[in-house]
Amino acid sequence: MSTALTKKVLIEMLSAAAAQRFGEERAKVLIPAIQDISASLASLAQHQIELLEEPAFFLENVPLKKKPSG
Amino acid sequence: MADPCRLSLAGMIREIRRRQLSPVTLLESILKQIDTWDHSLQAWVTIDREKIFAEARRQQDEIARGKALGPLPGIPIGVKDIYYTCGMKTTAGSKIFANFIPKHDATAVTRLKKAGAIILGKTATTEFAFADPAPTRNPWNLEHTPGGSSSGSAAAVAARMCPAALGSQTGGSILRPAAYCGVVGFKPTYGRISRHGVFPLSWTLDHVGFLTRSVEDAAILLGVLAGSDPQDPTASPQPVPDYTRFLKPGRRPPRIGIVQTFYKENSEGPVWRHLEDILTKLERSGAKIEEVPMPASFAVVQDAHRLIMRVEAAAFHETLFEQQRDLYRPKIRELIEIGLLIPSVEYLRAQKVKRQFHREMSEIMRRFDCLLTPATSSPAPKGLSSTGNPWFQVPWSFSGLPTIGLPSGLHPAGLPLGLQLVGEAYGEGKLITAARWCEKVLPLSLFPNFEGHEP
Repeated sequence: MSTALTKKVLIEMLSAAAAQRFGEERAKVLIPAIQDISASLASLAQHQIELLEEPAFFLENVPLKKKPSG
Repeated sequence: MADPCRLSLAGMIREIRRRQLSPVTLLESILKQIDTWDHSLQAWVTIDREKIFAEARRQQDEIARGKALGPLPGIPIGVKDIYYTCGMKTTAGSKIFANFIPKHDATAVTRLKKAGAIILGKTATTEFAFADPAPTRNPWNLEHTPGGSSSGSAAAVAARMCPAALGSQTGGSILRPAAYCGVVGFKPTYGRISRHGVFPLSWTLDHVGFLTRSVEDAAILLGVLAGSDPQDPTASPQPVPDYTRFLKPGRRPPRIGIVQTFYKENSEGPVWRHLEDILTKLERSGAKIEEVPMPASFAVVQDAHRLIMRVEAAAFHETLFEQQRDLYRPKIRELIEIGLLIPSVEYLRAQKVKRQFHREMSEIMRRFDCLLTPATSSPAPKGLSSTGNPWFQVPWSFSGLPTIGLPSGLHPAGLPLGLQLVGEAYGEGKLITAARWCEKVLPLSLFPNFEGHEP
């Protein structure tokens, strides 16, 4: 799927959700922000991530050091 | 002795330990400074004079009785108004919490008090530490923003209204205002300082940090604040070294990696030229400087950060927002609304990128003592409707790596410019050594002069 198409689909999807959740009037106000976040979502969708990569959340994956190295 | 409010934090500690300065005299000097300048700067939202004078007198009596002093004996510290302070209003810059008085302190505040610090008062913040500005003005030029979200903390430290103040950074909220106001900003590794008792904006991106006027002051404060906390599961159990011992010069000048990707093309001309001048000075003094290519994930860091912050802010505010949405200002309201719309799978994809970027950057960091970038793309923008752009800090808030911002000179318009140094995870000591070395090579101490007077 191309970035442009992904973005278009996302804008439609998020605009519909906004209208349902906040009403048509507020959804119209949110259009620039929806376009902006859709561009970010589309860009992320194109980024390659390994299949087994896990979400980070916190830095709990940093191993404990025995001595403070500063 | 100079007017006590103008001393560095380290200088204040030395004078109090030598009995050349009393906590009450110091507090009087600081409050005089606030009384003179805060009507213009609006850095403070709450100061309880009765309470802080009582505390200063109590500490003065203890010193007179020869009681052992803590690491911050009688030192007045500002606290951003998103930290819980027991018995003192904590508004988070929001109408919703206009009269909220916590019944306990944030862990960072507890640690300051335990070290002997006097909580001077609360400094102005953007609403919920996002982008709707505080009324605070820049001490270098009142028509310019001081940056945000730690707006009051940066302005107060720059204007000598306190030697240090707590801030917080989710995007660029410590190092950006520090650069705009010409002071040192410190954002440690994610988890190095407990976030307990701090209003969250985005749990996995929020960092507790602070603003000071020197690297030495930052090292002292980090030693007081860092450490594990049973009340914050993300606070690291890594041991806390004495960070002041990292102020001594290293065995060799630092190896510094320059990040040109993104930073060069997005810096205003004078900002990048200033950085090139700085690099020449550092190299002449012996630093090994090398350009560092960024990993592929760097290209989507801003997008992933934007996504995570919106979703997590929405998750925190959802219930309050349903009840009192009209009390939210426009930018935070939009942030929450967009966050409520983003699918969970997309949020998790952004968190995967976060892990990937952290791992890739950790590999790169092994070759350097620190990375270096301009702190901001421009000096403090004119106007108070925006607090400026956080994008130069976002990659490092996203990665969780520690950063320190140093003032480095003045823009032709007379406003401060700064550097951003990035270290490896939990490598605050090494970062402090490199920053201290840069501080000695460069003329970094800046003093604002507004309305024709030195604050």
